[in-house]
Amino acid sequence: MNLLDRADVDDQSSWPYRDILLFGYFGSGTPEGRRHRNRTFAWLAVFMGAALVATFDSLSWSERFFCGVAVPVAVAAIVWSSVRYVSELDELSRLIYLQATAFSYGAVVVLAGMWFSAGALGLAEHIPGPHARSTLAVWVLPSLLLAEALRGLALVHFARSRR
Amino acid sequence: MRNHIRLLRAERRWSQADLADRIGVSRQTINAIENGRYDPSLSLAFRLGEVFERPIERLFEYGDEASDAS
Repeated sequence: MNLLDRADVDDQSSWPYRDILLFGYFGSGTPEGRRHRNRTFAWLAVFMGAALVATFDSLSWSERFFCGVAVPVAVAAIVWSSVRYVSELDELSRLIYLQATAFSYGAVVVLAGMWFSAGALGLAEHIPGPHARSTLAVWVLPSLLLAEALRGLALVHFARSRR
Repeated sequence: MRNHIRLLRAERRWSQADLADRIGVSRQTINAIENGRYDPSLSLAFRLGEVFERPIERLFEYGDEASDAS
């Protein structure tokens, strides 16, 4: 067995595909992966707890306050944990993560645009879900515009940070 | 970009995981570099040069060919 053959032994590339598909990260085999997993699960528990409390029949003021605050805080914390996680990844993993994020963003924007067009062209009755004159018009187009505006601002911010 | 990472690593009897630990990246990154599927950043290329004690022009050659092993 020559040197190069020996170098191949035990070195087949394997990404943690199960964790990538199910949880959207590169697994808990690294310290940053474990931190991200623990933080995400902890805040998901808060989120689920608040969502459960919100289903109660009559809510006291404190319960309503808990639900109103816990849900956005938990969502923000999970987003923050994801940003921290990306910043701790090595360069190839970060590139792959950002490519996947860009692809999913683009795909959702295209799908939302198609959904909006279907509603605007009067095809909404064939599509289960929000009607063109209500949810589609109120949420979809402004959401697209907001997402694009935020993307522009983020591009400016990150471009300026590398002047 | 052609590179000689796999050969240099084999000469030292390091696994991809060994090399990855030494330069602070994932094993998958080393695998992608060796197979010519990813060109490392300049700082990572210099770190590779450091662990192999060679200038980076001895590790990487500009061209269309893939790396040693592919």
